[in-house]
Amino acid sequence: MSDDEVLDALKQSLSGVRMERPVEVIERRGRARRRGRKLLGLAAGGGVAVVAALALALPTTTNRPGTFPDGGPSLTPAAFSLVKQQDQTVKLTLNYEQILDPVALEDALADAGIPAVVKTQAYCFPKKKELPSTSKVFRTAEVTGPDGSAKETALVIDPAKMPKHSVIYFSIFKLSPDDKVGKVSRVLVADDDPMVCREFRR
Amino acid sequence: MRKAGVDRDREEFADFYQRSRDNCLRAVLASTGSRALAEDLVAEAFARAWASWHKVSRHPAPAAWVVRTALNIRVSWWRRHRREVPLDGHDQVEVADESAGMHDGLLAAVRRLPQRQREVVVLRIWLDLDTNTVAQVLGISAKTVAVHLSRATASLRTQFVPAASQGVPS
Repeated sequence: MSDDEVLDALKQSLSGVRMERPVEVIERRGRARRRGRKLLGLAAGGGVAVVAALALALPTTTNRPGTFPDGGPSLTPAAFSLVKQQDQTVKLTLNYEQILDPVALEDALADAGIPAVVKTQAYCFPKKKELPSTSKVFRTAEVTGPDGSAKETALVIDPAKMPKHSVIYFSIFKLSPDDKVGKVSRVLVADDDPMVCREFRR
Repeated sequence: MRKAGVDRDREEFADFYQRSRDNCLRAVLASTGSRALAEDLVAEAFARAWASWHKVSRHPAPAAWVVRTALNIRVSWWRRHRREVPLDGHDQVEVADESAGMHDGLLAAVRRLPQRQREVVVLRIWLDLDTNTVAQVLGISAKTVAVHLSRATASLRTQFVPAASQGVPS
């Protein structure tokens, strides 16, 4: 087998792989990074007042990896990914180690046709019961890498199965600030159902 | 005037993304082995490319910049990834066939290559860069690129069993 044949075969082995993420999502994330960088630049060159403003602005404009150990705005992988699949379901993969910008995730879900409320560092549950169609709306997809070590879990949501006037509540939290792992819960409820939210220490 | 410049940048970036995204994903997937991880890394790297588009657009091989950035991000990602816990809920777990269409043995062999050889293979094969551009991107000589590629190919060849020789009695 010649060198070219080896390299061609290698190239062919991944020819069916396609990047599905829309350019708009990439641009939005890029813009958020740019904004964050501008704020950091201002803080570096400015005084105490600017630093204080930065501390207030970051939670609403960017992800907050700094809430967790080892985090930093300059080396932050995407906190979540949202992919619309061929069967019209939506695959949501979360990086539980990061505190999300809840508004960014809510916006992305809304764009995908999924009304949602995202709470960070809080656990929310309904006063009434979860809607019975929950099992039709969600399923969990588990992905194991070829060597069996890389394992990821993603939530597949079928917006077509969501009842009218329903909403998904996501809670993303750590039980204590020292915990090494984060937790995510989701619940499907009517949009006028009262919710109880328990906040955790940041 | 400024708006026209921004629009032009957006068009350029969108065009670059459409042309390069699949190849970048394949290159990163070959190095990581996990489809979902590779897609997240590449998306983040493209976002960083857009955030620094004035600099990246002047790079000799912007797609190579994206791939290298994605692989650099992987280090911090992997640190977090090890500590993940599953989503709550009691839904039935569906095992996705992520490896469909992939030659797992071959890709595993690529990942076992020494780092420099792997980088050369990834840039040459999936990004279609010529030897000189690979050399420029990696900061090594064209001759060294050729040596790395030759060694990598020799190593990978052992993973192949040509179809013609299968089942043929000797």
